Amino acid sequence: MQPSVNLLDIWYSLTFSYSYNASIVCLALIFQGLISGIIGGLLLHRRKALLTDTLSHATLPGVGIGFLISLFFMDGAREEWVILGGALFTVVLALGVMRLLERWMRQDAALSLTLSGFYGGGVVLLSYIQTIPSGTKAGLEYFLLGQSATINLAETTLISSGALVVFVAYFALYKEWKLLCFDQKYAAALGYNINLLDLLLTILACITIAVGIRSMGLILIMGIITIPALTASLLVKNWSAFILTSALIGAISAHIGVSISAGLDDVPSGSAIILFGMLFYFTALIWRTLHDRYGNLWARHETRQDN
Amino acid sequence: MTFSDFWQVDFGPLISALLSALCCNVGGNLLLVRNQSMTVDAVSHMVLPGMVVAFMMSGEINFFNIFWGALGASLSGIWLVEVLSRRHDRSAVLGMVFSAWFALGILLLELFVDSKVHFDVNHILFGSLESIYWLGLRAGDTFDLSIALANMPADIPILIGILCISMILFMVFYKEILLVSFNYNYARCHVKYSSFLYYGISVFVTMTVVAAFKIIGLIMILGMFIIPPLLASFFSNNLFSRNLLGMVFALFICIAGYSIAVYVPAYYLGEEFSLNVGGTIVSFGAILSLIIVSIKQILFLYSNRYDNTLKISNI
Repeated sequence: MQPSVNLLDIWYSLTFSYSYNASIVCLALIFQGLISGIIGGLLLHRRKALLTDTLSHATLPGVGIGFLISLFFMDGAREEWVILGGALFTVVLALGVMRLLERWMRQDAALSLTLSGFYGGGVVLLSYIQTIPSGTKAGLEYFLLGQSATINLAETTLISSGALVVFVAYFALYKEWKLLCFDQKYAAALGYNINLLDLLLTILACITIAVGIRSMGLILIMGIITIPALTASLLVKNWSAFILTSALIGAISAHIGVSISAGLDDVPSGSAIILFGMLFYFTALIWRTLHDRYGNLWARHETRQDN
Repeated sequence: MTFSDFWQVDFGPLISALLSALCCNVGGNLLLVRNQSMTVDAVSHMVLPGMVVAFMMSGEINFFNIFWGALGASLSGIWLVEVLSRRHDRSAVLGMVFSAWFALGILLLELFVDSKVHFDVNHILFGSLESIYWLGLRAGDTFDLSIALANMPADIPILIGILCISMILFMVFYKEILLVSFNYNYARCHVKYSSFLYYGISVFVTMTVVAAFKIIGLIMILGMFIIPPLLASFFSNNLFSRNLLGMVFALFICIAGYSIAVYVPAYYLGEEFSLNVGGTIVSFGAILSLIIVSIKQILFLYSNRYDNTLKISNI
């Protein structure tokens, strides 16, 4: 069972000349990678990366609720925006529950309690949906692992509008994000509402996750949010350059991953994206280690500094 | 649903769920006081590539193949997390490594495992509790102890062994475990093998996850590692009594959740309907702990013994 390899397909997919549908999928995943990089960078500075894990698992009951709504109230027409809307609803609900629980118990316990409660509810709901005789439930399991090959124009529009919201919020509140990430006590002293900004950041993370589960799946979305941010934190020190690098690495690894998946049979695109991101990460880690140990590798005539 | 049906159909899954929950409770208490409850989530996702590789190499789903493969994968993942968290934030590294391991597992599964084989991701995510049958267990005239023991599923004695070993280790090393869990830096000054003990607890938790994994699946592992210890922590501040209380809560949640999953839909919708057992147990436990913590907070707010202002923790 060797996978058939077609290098030409990979090249066509990289240059957007494979087919119309493949280009749509590529575009959707590039947008997803860009906003995941931005949100991941912000969350990494806030030390809240594991929040993503809880929120992404909390999409599962939302998928079930969205499916049931489209089944009972919309005559079984499976509209993707209903399912994604349901996912967004439960993610925001989980965020509220978690912020409440965070005051009452340890943060880690609050995260994992919310995660297990919502994920368990989702599993129960899906097992109930399995008993309903209906033909349209076949694709629901793809939300677990993601299936980017069947993304159509409407879903790409959904992902790009989510991306637009994140871009606008990032550039409009650029100064506030920078303050929040570096010194939140100083920001509070200057009169900014820290709790509101923090809530806004987590809601942006919710939007990123809700639009991302269709293409990446609810488990691997964690990877595309953390890997570009960690890679960028190895490469650059400047804050705005860090966020930019993180977004670019997310977009590039998404593009290359989905192209590899187009050229190789049986390679799921989510896995390809995550593993390509890990390749980036380990390259950056080796470069960083050498750089720290032997000084600047590119400037030959400067004195090497050992630290 | 008659009494003999219970012995034949429900007793096997129920006893497996109970034993797994008791095993998870011991490690869950230790992780809760160490603020590392989310590690379980990461470990339970990391087992996938090891299971697939073990399946590819042996060609059959054997408990020991799956166990060693999953143990190798999750220990290597935890090692990588500990190494990389010297450089980065630990939670971000945890997320990165587990998603990478899971992606690798899915890739191997898609590339090399035939889809006709009874081995897919849904089993791993949702558990296969319903597929445990204990043949030869009947109430009434045909019951024979030797036949019942011969037909016992292989997972049950392994779970009993893990439970006994974990309880004995917990009681023997109770003093050291207490010190290492609550104040690691202090323990490093006074106990020679404290780092061995610290990472030993991680390894032990990993082994528990891996052993219980094949039976109860990812969702119930998560729930049983966090919910009974958390419920116990509302009532006690002593690690040992938390452990015992957690066991009581684990038994209660499992039996109540199992009844809700199996008997309530059968009563209202018909005999053939049932919900996913693991998911129901976990959501029942989560709702129960939410109710108990809310009651506790309300009592706390209206009691005059303490200063009843909530602390703003975010600034």
